Amino acid sequence: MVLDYDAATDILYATRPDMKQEEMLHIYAAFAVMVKTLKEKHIPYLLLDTSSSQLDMHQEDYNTILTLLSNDLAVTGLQKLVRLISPDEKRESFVRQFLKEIDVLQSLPYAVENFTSREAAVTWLKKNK
Amino acid sequence: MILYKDHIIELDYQPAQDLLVTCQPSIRPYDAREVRSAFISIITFVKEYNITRLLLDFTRNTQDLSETEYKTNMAQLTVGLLQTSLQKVARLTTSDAIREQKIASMLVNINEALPLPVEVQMFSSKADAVRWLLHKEG
Repeated sequence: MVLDYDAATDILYATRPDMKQEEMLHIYAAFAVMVKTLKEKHIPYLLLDTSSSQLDMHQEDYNTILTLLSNDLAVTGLQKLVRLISPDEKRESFVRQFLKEIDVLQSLPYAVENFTSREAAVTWLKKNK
Repeated sequence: MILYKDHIIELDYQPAQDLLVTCQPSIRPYDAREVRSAFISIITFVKEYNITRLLLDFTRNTQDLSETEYKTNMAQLTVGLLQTSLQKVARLTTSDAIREQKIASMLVNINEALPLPVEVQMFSSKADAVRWLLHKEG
């Protein structure tokens, strides 16, 4: 995972690693580093680039990681999360299903949006700051 | 009391000790897919009952898995048990030295990747494992 912090805009740019089944632990460990960075630097905006990341994982394991990540992010002070997405249908259906599930479980303390354009994503993060 | 039982795994819960003991119903080769299914059952019940102590007994599996399979399965179990009430995990070792070596090195890798919020210990004797699990000072 690549983390890049832009102090001028207070945005953390993270590139999600490939979601491979056998790398599940290291993927979560990478997310944990991202969460730690957000917390320590009190960063309010996160752009998570998943557009070029492969997905090869069981639905329930993917959901497990997303649940852990959502719980972790909820206590960071994050205000806005934007996901840069690819047209990968499989992944998007995964995420849609997951969001439906967590929607009923908890209301997130931060706003979430998806964009396929990086410019649009950054514009949304900077809006109403 | 038996919380759950299928053709792959049996989960025996002792509420007084808050201890979940896993066991395979028969001595035979269980493949990676079956181990995965067993792990999903374990994770589900640890969460549902807020269990703090877990004894893993996979000694009735006669099949040694590949490194990738161990890595995949152990990662699944480890990540699945994060953010649960679980505090201590004991695993019963088998007499298969190669299998034990693989699992031990995998556990080292896991600990390096992620500081685990649970204590994990290997035991050859079930009585020792239970004693350690129930010991208050850890």
